[in-house]
Amino acid sequence: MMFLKIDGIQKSFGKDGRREQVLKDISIDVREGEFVSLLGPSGCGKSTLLNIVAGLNRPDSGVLQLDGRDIVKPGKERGMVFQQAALFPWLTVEENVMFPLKGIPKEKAREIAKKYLRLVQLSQYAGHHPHELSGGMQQRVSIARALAMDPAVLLMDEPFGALDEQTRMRLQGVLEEIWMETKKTIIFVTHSIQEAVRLSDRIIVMGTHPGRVLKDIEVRLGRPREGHLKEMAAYEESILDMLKTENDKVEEEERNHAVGY
Amino acid sequence: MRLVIKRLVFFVSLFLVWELAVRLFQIPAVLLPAPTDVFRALGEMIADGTLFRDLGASFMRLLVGLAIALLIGLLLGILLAKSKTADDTLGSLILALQSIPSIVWLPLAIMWFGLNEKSVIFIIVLGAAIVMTINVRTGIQNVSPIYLKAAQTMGSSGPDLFFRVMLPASVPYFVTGTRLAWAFGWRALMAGELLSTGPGLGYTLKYASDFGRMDMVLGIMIVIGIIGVTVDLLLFQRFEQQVRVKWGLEPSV
Repeated sequence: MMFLKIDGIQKSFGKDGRREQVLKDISIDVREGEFVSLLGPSGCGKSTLLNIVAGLNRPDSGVLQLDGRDIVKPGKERGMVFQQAALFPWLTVEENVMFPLKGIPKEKAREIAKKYLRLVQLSQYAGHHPHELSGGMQQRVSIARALAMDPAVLLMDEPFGALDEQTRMRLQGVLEEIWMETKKTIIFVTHSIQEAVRLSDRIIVMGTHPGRVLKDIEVRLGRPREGHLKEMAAYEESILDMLKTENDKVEEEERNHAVGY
Repeated sequence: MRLVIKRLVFFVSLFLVWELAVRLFQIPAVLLPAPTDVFRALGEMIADGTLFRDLGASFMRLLVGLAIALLIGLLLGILLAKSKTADDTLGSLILALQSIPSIVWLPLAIMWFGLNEKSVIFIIVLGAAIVMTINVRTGIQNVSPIYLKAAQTMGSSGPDLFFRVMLPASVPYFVTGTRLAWAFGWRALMAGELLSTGPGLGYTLKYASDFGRMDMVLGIMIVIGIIGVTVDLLLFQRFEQQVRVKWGLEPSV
């Protein structure tokens, strides 16, 4: 039995009086402890798929199971990190990380929060408020917050998409270390080929119109990845080539579509 | 610092021009007293203690009225934000009431409560509760969806989501609502006291006017203005600004 089973997911949204299919027959199996990236251009439905796994959206049809149990609504066993850090501004950094720990005695919760703040190297900012932190620091707090409830899966929706290139690279390193240390199953949505290759064990390449899985690529490189720049470049190139073919197809479709009008 | 000097120069010249005009054109004191007379009258009121007695009485009413208004506003606002039906029905009534200055309720209020404190407090509550209601409703409806999504993925829902996320996320709107409630309440208080009974600033103003003491009238008007500006600018707007920065609605300076 697969740890996370995504089988035959379909999803369409009503748009301008027409149904537009966003996800077509998506099937992905994720092993426990695996780092999987969903890579694709905007509009391929990768974020929608992640929202469905989070339980924030419902699929039209398909099977969705975590550890044998159906996913029907959001739950603590699936932590989520968004593109915006979405920290609660009225709470301190530490209180933010303690937010999902409701029901656990205060002292114990504080200890857990401290542990995860240490993991993202922000212990000394425990008493600060989110607005006093930079974007990259806020995103690290948000990762600590999602990890604090000890989820079985960590869902990340372009978590570094709003950050500058330098911060982004650094946080990729931080995330890889966290993953190696915690051995969490991570599903990571990105549109950056570099980012996907840098972080993932497996890359699910998705295409648009309708959103579907194009290819499932295993990245067989050692970690930390920093030491494998050349091999990473080779992977990036092959994915780029594949996407180029796909792009040509999309362009041709668009041309035909335009002619049709 | 330059701002302070500019303002100081402006107000000193304003009083100078006023004083000169009164003396030059020999304007009678019942039409427009000179600033020196006004300040003398103010000094008298401070010396015999009437000013502070009036201020105390007025503020007592205002605080009671505001406390009731804020509580009603909070509850009504939550109701309107949470219930579509209440918003469509009661909400439209509240919007309509907003366009009626609360002071025009005074004749009715006097019939209901008598010519006393309660009537004035009723006017304050009416004026202040409506703006608070509208702000609370807007605040709760405008909670950023990303907060709600994040909280849901952390297992929060129902009352827990409401009390731990929606309410605190709306605090900036509550602060704005409180500031506006104060502003409306302060105006309603003065109007109410002018037409009803004392002690109180508004009542003393009317009393002075009945005796043709325009120097006292102007003196009290200056006090009303100074208190209004001080509380609004120095207290509320500053606090509102701090909250908005902390809630990430405005960049910190």
